[in-house]
Amino acid sequence: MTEAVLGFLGVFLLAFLRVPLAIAMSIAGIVGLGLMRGWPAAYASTSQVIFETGFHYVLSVIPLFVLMGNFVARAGMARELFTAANAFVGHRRGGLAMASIIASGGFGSICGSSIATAATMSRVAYPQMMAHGYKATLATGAIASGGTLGILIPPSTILVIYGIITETDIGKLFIAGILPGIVAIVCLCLAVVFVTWRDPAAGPPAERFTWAQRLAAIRGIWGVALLFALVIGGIYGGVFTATEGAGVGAAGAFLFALLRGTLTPRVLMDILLESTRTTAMLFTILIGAMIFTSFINFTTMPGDLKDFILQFSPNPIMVVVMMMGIYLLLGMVMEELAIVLLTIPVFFPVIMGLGYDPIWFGILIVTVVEIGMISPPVGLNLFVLNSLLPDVKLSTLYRGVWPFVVADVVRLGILIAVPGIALILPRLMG
Amino acid sequence: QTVFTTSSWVPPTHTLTTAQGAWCSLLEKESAGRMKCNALPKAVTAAPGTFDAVRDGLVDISFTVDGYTPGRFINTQVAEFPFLGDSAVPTSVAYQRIYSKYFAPLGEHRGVKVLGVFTHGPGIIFNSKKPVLTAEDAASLKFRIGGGNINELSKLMGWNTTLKAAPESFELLSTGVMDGTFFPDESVASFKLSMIKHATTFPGGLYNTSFVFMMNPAKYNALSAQDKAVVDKISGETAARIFGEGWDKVDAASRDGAQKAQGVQRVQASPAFIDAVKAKQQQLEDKWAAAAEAKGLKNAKGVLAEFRAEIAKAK
Amino acid sequence: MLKTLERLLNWSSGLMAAMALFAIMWLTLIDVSGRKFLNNSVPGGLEMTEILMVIVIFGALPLVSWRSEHVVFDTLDAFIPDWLKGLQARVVHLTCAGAFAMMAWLMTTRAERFAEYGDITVHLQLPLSPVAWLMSGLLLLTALVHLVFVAVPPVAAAHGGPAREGEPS
Ligand code: NA
Ligand code: NA
Repeated sequence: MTEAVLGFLGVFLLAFLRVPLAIAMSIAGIVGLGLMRGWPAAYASTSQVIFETGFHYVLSVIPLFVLMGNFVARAGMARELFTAANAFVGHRRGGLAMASIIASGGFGSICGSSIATAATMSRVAYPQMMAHGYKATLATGAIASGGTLGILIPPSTILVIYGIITETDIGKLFIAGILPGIVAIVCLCLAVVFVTWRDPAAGPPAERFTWAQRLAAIRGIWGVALLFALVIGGIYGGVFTATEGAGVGAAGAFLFALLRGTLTPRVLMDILLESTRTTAMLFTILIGAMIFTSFINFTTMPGDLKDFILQFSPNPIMVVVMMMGIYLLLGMVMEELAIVLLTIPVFFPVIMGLGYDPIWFGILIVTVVEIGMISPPVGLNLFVLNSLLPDVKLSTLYRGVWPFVVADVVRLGILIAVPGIALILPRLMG
Repeated sequence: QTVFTTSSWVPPTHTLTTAQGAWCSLLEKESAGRMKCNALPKAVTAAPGTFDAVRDGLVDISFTVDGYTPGRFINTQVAEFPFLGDSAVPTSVAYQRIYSKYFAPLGEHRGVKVLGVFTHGPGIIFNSKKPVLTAEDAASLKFRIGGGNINELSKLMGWNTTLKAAPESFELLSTGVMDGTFFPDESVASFKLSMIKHATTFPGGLYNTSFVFMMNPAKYNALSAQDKAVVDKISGETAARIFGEGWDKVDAASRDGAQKAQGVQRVQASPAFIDAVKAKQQQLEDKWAAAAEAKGLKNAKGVLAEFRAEIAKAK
Repeated sequence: MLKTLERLLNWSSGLMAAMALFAIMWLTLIDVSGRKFLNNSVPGGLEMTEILMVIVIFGALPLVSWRSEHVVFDTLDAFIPDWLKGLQARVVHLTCAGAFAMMAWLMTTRAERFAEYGDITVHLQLPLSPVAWLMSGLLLLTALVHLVFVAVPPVAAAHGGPAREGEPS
């Protein structure tokens, strides 16, 4: 355990000196592994991790979902979603923030990536909120947390990866995400209500729409509905797998952007370049996290955590609660995909041994991953907003996001207490 | 005391992991506790990188499928041919004997200390659609396959196959993207392939898979003469038998458990189907013999014949 | 000078990565349609995707470094005096250059290992060693980008990068 703690300290020391997180994790991982297993082994392991993470079929869902998100945004669909949501709730206090959360949920139904969702909504919703005098804390908190709906509401990169490493039905996992997604939207909107109750100036009401305008706005989201039907229908109709669905969805979104006349060769090139850069940025972190993880794998940390958890096994639900506690703590300091890949092989058999449903556990895992993506200091969605909105400081993001983190933790509690929310739809499928 | 770090790229309950654990227990017992293993919580690399991980000393002991690193191993393909045997123990033991006699000196596994080689049980055609009795039946379905000799054979048979990793089988089959897959009996249970309704068996199996169980050579060389003797004693046939017995046990458990519960109908391939496979296999054997002889194996066809005879003898 | 370099990166490794991503998209679509309508999937589609993934990730990496788009903690920025920031940037870029150069070197050892054993892909039998060499080359290019910034710290591009062209609507 000591080695692991020293490793984490090393990562943070380097990161606070402004070394990119990916490089900080790589350095700590190589040095840690070198000291524990010898330098040739550390070098061999690192080169293997780099190759395996890059040369990886399943992980191709990440760039394809990012690409799909960018095409969809270019086709104007994110704006249509926001307008539709805004038409119904915008006139309330904090209404634009709620609209951005609802629209994120809608966008999440055609995009499998939390980061792509947050990035897209930041372009659509942030300027509107600023124009209506919203405080940056509320605006960015709503966008960052709403973005995480991208991995809960199907399709979802994390659920694909969870399904593959635990051999759980990805189709059922996807369906299972729908109701918790709605619960999540409600909880996050309640967080907005709380924030504007404490400080009405954080989110002043915007203009009210007439019912005619509302109906017109709703009709505007047919494109999103069609794309959702294509991807989800294709997966359930047995035409393609969830992994392949990302590629088909990207192609569908490309077609939409093309038909709406929003693509010139120049724009297409920009979208492709931007998507590859986002991919490279994510994979650099992923590779760094994997290098660090292979060091952690040799420490006693995974075993210690398991032993800690097993002492609660006479009371199975406590095992789940403690496990989620560990995930919340790890989520603050680690990258989420790395956490999933490191801990699932250790924790999943424990959960199965206690007789819990792997689909329910998968939804809990996505939920803690969502929280980890917005909980300071290491939260990928916060970093993405920080780089897309240069005038917003990271500390502002940290201050704005906590009511939403609390709302997410409450939602996690609800999902643990009422497994039916996750399980009722997949059970109806049979 | 020497502690060997072990890694496994299949789940902790899988027979490969437990067989590796059984070998480690034997090691501890035979050495009166001077040597033992420490299993890592998570695989040190994905399956294809395992050979290099052992070679580079990242882990001390692990196992891998030779076919996961295509291009590296030629001789070992002999253990992937059709019609080898109906049980993993004799094929594993016979493979080990042939391996020690002919293949080990050629050094295809250079860089690691080979503790044993083995195979799984007979390969079977599984599908969720219809009974497959003939080659035409098989040609009308879409199959997921994993690679190795069966990949070459499918190409020659003209089957509609897609290469995907084994853990994706569930998704591919449950969504109906694919109709079937080729696996030993065990995998229907371990990959929870509850949609499988039909199995087509071949006498001796349609295919098999060559595995190697190995140790980092530097770790081995650093052992005392006494400890080396213990490792040597439980290597080779002893190790092959442990893994083979493990496969046979889980194959039987899947047949009598999961497969029975989900109502899998077993049929044997028609004689015409078997002959069609045999005809194509002949081409593959010729190709293999030429490639193996180019790599230094003498009288490859004779070795193959001896391998088949050895399987018949082994128990 | 720096502008020319950026254009060069965009039109070399960047273009390569962009085309590879576009290709993965079409490859998946063709693979799926072929399987559905023609009863035949693209032979070796999986391994082509894997190779293209390498090009996407490592081809775009020099650009990510060029535009300083790596994730960094800027929490302490407020406490660091301005005179120190230039030095800090140089040291950080030197660290990054060293780390990426080391990764590049490590990938040459992987490439040599693949070559030594003659490793190939399952279906198309493409050799793996050039793929590892490609990773290595692009990692080295990334290291060089950081080296440029050791000499000439990027001024305004310190965070967020230059204004994004063609903001999606
Ligand atoms: Na989604
Ligand atoms: Na995190």
